[in-house]
Parts: sequence; structure tokens; C-alpha cells
Amino acid sequence: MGTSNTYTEIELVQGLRARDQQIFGYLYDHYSPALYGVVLKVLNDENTASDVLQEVFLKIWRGIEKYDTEKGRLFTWMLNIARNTAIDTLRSKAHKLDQKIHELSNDVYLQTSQLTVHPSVDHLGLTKVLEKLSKEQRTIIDLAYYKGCTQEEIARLLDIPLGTVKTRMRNAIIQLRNVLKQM
Amino acid sequence: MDVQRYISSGIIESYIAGLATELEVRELHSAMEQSPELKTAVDAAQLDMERYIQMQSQPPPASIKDKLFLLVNNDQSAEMADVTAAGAVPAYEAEVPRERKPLTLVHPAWRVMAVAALAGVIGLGYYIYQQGQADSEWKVKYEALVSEKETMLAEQKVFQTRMQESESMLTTIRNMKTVNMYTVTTARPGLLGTVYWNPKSQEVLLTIHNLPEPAADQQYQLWSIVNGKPVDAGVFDMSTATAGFQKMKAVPGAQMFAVTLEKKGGSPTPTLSAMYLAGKVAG
Repeated sequence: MGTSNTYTEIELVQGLRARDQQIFGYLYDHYSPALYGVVLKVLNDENTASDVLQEVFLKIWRGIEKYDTEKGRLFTWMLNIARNTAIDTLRSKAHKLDQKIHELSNDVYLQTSQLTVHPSVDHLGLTKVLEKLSKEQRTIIDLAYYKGCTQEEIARLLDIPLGTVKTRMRNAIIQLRNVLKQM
Repeated sequence: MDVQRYISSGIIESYIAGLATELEVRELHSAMEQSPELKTAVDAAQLDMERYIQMQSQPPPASIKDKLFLLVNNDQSAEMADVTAAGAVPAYEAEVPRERKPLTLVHPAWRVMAVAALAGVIGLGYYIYQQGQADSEWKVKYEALVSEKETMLAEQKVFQTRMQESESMLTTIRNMKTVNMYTVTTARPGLLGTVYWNPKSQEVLLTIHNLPEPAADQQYQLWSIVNGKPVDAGVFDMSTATAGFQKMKAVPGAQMFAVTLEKKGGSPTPTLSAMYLAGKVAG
């Protein structure tokens, strides 16, 4: 069934609603690396990440009726499912908060030795982006997005006043967007 | 509200980083409905964030896809079963095929007619015989009738054999569980194949209603799914399986049957992405 078709977002959604497995296969082939990237970065454990990725795609397959085209793009919806499912798993595993910081510093993406494993992935671009952000900026984005931390948790982990979390997040994201613009 | 001030408040960045509280998210969504300018700003930030997230893509282990599709197929056949079982089905119907191929049965009326015709022929022959055999013209006619009678007798034997075959096939199928197999893509809707399976004798018969002809180096293969694991039930040829019933390998226990397209001669494990049909065994 290896078709090299490309589908528009509308065709994908219609195909999923019609329970078309060929479309679902296409969706998996095209989006699983991005979603697996999210899940793996949240959990930092390949075994759990594999199970969670499967769960994520089942949620997409079973829950496509819940997706509202008015509310946002399909990819955004899928990313949210991946992030939420992974973070729920992380929380249910009763991860200690301190461990999150520890995990972030052990993050596979930040260890250049790991980056050669998957040459297909845009690590060159990523490395360039990460170089242009300060360590705190990287950490604050990752704690919020990939670890699902609240403002209070971030304030405590980074040892900064609660009132400045939002401002620092804003600066971090603005910096990130500027770097992306230059690429 | 002052949109510019709201935009520079940091709420958008909090939102796309997943840091905004539920209340803030609701507030932002309703503000976006009011202000196209705000919506554009949020969408642009969202796109950039997604780019950053996508940069961290990782190819997942290859085994996940197969496992996923097995689960999805399970889902699908359960759905299909729900659709077809619309309304309560009385228990006694469960074992009887809901849709059956019209079998080429001999109508009982034919039997009656054949016997009557035979009796007529014999009677007439006897009558003619009685009428005096001197008349050679009659004699010719009589002999023609006798040979006709023999032809009819022979034909009746053929009919009888066919009828016995049909009846025994019917009896066999009546005692079997029917597993309707449906498409797993929208390209070929409807009921596409049926497995008749006797869990006691483990006998499996397969009939195909509608499948595309495979390429010369490919064959369809039937699988029984036992506790989530596919077990080979043999490859089949389209000609046999579409014309009638093809006997497949014995299956001791199964929750599902499925058909995949494999290389000629079959594969040890199914190519789940090339699954054409799947059906759940009822209760």
C-alpha cells in the first residue's frame, strides 16, 4: 500500500472520519516522528514512549470526531494529544519534581554524542537554535512544554520570583522566534 | 480590551508553551474570537513553537506501527460488527449465515416433474406397445421414447448427486459459525468475504465476495487472530474462493479472522498495512 500520495489537511480529516486505514497509515508515517519526539522528550524513556505513542495514535483514530477544524490545525490538535498523554503518564509515574530538572540536564537532545544516531532529523537546525538561547531560556521552555510544569513549579525549580516566570517565558519564546526567523 | 497590551502581556507565550492556566486559556480563546488581530498573533506564535517542536522529531521504533494497526483493525471489526448487528438478533440466528451465497440447489419441483415425466413415458410406451407392434412407425417412435427415458434417468442421477452435495454443504455450514469480513479501507465498502468455521471440528471454509485480483507474484492469505496474535490459515486462490468455498487450514480457536495480501505462497507473519479484510468471531 506504499502510495506516495500527499493529502491536504481536509482530506486527512475526512479520511480519518471515514475510517480509512490508508489515510491513517499516511498520517502515521508523516507525523509519528514529530509526535514521538514530543513523547520521548517528555518521558525520556524509550519503552514507555513507545507505549504512549501507540496510545496517542489510538486516541487520534478513535477521537477524530472530537477534533474541530474551527479550533485549530490538525497538527496542533495531535501535538496536544501527544503532549497531554505523555505528561499524564509522567505524572502518574509519580516523578519527583527534582527529577525533572535532572532529566532535562540528561536530555538526549542536549548531548551531542547522541545527535548522530538519527541523521534524518533536523539536529543541525536544532543545535543552531539551542546555541542561540541561554540555558535558562531553554530550560524554561522545556519545563513548561515538555514537563508540564506550572508557574509555581518553575519558580521553585529555577529559583526565581513567581511574578517573573511569565516575563522570562515571554523573553525566551521571543528569542526562540527570532532565531527561527533567521533560519 | 486593549489588544496590543494584551498581546504584550506575555499571555500568548505562556499559552503556546503550555503554561497558561485553564482560566487564562478560556479567556484567550474568547478574546481571539473578538479580535482577528489577536488571533493572527497567536497563530503565528503557535506555528513557530510547532517548528521548534518538530525540530526534535525522532523516528519511532518500527514495531509500533504493526501493533497499532492490529489494534485499529480490532477496533474496526468491532465497529463493523456493531453496525451489522443493529437491533437484537435472536439467539437461534447467530449460527445461521446472515448473507449466504445462493447455492445452486435443485428445486424439489424438478424431482416431482422428472418422476411424473418418467411415469408418463413408461405408461405411454407400454400403451403403444400394447397397440400392436406390427406398425413399424410406432416401433420407431417407441424406441425413441425408450432412449429418451434412459437419458432422463441419467439426468436425474446427476441432479440427485448435485442435490446431495448441496444439502451436505448446507448442513455443514449450518453447524458452523459465520464470520463476516469487511473492508478495512473505504475503497471497497460492504461485505467482502465470509469465513465459516466450526470450532469443534476446527474446519474452516472461506468464500470471497469481492476482492481485487492480486498480481501474479502475490496471493491473499487468511489469518486467524488468537489472543491478539495472527496465526496462518493458508493462502487461497481467487478462482476457488470466489466460485464457491475453499477449505482452509484447521483453526482451533480464534477471536478474529483477517485477510492480507502477501507474496505468492504466503508469509510467516501478516503484512498488517496490506490488510484487506477483517472480521470478529461473534461471542
